[in-house]
Amino acid sequence: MMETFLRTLGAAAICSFLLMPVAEAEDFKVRTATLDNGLLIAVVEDHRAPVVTQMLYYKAGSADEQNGKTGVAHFLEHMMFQGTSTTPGAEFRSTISRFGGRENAFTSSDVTVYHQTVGKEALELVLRLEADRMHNLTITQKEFDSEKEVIKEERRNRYENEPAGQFGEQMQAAQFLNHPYGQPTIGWMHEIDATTRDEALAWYKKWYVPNNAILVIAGDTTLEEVVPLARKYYGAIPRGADPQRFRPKEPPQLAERRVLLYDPRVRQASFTRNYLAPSVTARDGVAPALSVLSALLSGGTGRFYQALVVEQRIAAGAGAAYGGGTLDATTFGVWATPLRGGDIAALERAMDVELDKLLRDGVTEEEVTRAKVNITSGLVFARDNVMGLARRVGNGLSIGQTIEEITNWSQVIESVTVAQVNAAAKQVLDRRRSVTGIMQPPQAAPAAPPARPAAQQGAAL
Amino acid sequence: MTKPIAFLLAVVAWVAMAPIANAVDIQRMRTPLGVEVWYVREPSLPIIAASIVFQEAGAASVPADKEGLAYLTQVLLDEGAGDLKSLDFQRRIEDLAIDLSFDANTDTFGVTLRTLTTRADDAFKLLGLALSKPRFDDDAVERMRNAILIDLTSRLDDPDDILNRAFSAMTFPHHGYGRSVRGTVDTVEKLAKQDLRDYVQTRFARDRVVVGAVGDVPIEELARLIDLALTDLPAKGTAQPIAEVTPAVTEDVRILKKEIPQSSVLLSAYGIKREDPDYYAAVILNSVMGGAAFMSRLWNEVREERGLAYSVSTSNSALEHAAYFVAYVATNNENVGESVRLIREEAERIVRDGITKEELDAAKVYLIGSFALSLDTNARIARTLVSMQISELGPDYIDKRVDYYNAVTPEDIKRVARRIFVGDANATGPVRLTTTIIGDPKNIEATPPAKNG
Repeated sequence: MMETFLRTLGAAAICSFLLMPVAEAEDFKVRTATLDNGLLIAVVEDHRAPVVTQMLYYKAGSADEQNGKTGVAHFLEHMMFQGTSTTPGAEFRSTISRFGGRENAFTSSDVTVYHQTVGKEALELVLRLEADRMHNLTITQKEFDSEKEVIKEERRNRYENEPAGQFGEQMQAAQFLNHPYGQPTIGWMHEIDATTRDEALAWYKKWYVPNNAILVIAGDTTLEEVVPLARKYYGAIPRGADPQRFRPKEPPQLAERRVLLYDPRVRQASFTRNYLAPSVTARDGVAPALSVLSALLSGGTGRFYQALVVEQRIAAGAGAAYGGGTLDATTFGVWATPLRGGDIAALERAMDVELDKLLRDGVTEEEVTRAKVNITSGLVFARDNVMGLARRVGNGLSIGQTIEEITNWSQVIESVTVAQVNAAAKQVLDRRRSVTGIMQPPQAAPAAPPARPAAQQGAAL
Repeated sequence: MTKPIAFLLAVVAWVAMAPIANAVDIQRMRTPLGVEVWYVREPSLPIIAASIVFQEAGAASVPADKEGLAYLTQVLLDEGAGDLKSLDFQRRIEDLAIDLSFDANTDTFGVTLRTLTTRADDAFKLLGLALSKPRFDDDAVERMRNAILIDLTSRLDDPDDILNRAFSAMTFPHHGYGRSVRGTVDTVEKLAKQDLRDYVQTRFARDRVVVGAVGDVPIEELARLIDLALTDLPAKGTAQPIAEVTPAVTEDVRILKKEIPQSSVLLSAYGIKREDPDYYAAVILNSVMGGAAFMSRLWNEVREERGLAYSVSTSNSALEHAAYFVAYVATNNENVGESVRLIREEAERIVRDGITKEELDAAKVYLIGSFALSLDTNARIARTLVSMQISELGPDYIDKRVDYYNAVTPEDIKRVARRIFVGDANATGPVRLTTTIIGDPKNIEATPPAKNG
């Protein structure tokens, strides 16, 4: 599997060279190369500013953890900042900051990612530092114990102190009977507590090998510049055994599930329903159709908002959510928040009527066209942020997409038809394969309206 | 071809090399309507990003009984204007593929517009319509009011939201800074259509507007587009400017009791304003103490050494008419006492000993370099051009900024530490920190009410 996967990428890399002149068809350009030890390199050029971003993706996330040992992927992410046999953690950080750089990391169900943004003159430096901690990490017991407390505080902050966080965690756990997407990425508290240093080290040894990593460099550089430097630092790390991902398959869902969270800290109820849905890796055309469906159901001009908020005045907000960029099957969600003091049961019935109508009458040509324009115009503005493009590339490659699949998303979206959207809706919006979640105060009913994204700040002066 | 940001980044290399003589290529022009525009031409993307900000128009500029008015205006500006009702207006935005957002801040009201250059005329005209002829139709007002009320209600039990509101009210009593941007259930319920009209008419004026933009057209063309958006606005804004104010700093410990596993804590002191000559020293002090993630003293003491918290940070909040310094930590109830003690000791240590030469140099290099790195998207550059004008920094600021930071001495840091933590540039103690906690904290006592007076 892994070998086939890498060969596919190699072929894509060659194609992207040959197809350069017709690049107008692409959302943006990516070029790739592979080192002898299996490290895949992808470069997204952007020469507006002399800045580069390094993102190192490991194809290992919380869904690769063993049942009963949740949180180890995220735990190791924390430990990766604690230093190596050659570079203490503090020195890593001060070196990046000496160049005014910024750095961080994140863990998801499918990947663990480390990234830095620096001036281009520091590209070699960050390559050296990141390569160093791919194979020289040291973890002392003292650091491990102290970091465990930090992680528990992080968990308290996001979940124990936050009913909405707990609600999402319970919804996810209810959605997956067997597949590890049901496990929280941060880990259950008692399993964080029980994690040992040896388990963290074993995780590191198994997954942190060049043949399980993807290096994405974005910014003011070229593939020609990156490859020799990457070979110098990452190339020195020997290939490891190809780690095999074991993802238990979800059995057919036969009965709908309900999650009811009653918490006195919840002041407004909310309604969510998630349906099991294929991701882009299914390659059956459903994921692009679901993206269009989600777009036409969402937003101020979207079907749910217009019906439930504007016309029926039964909800304060309503929409749909779909993120298809996962390795295994994911969820398609619909949500609504009732008016103050509103009846959550009535709101659910109204949503059911809308869903029935959608399945019975289908969507219109105009709705599909608008949704497509909304998605593709968003992609044009996305080009203003090269780190965002780097994330698309890193995530896509990590789940086995080809470069072409990643960069031709606009074309894929453009080609979605009304019939495909209707077919996808019929396939996915089956109540027997859903989890309905209601979060409310102990006696009453509804939840947060769509928070408008806070405007980003300019540079601190 | 100009590569404007190249010059900025050169400041990183300055540490090792000679100072850069070139200024960043900021172009300036007065539009035919008389509005000053700062502009960077960037030919590699076919889009225009504009940041248009009204000063003295933010949430703090409205009276206490209208708390939340700026925010209600924000969410209603794309709900219809001129002949276009709500749905028509939003469909027009989609048809033109415009990215348009409004943002009510504490001091200012901001607009961000991104458009394909080919559709720029229609985009800027539509913005002009939103700013000069918002409809405020009854159904839209009630719908958005409801959405805000639900949002406010849903946060009534959110620990950090309660803490921030209480902290602001106690730090800036009887002032706009003591109130929230989103308002309260009581005030938002009472806001009337006439309030919205008054707000817009007295604040969205050409003498209050500051403009920064990045695009691929000549500046003359950009100036013409800006005028399309501003042409129907009044020349002068008549709303009262926000008053100057000093934060209330006491030695009290205030506990907002709540049964949650983790407490959130704010420790506050005096801040340093943007135009203050000590501003750069304050930024460095903040960076060393708790501002720089992964690097600061508090990060090391509280998180790395002791594992007491996931989040610990400080900031010097420089508003237009006040400034305050605040440290934040979120920690298990059991560890509140120790975390507060560590932060207080760090403040005392900085007042007593200042910071080391190594810390000073490292902070300077970081602050100089990170500024340049942060200017990596057209949208961010546009916002930065606005901030530079609001702070009256001059177009050569980006070069001079390096000198401002490099000129800061260890003595400056000690002086600014005394100003922040003691409240007096010449006194070395005692350190005064107001402690505000939400949670069920252990090993710390609230100041008895009698002393509060």
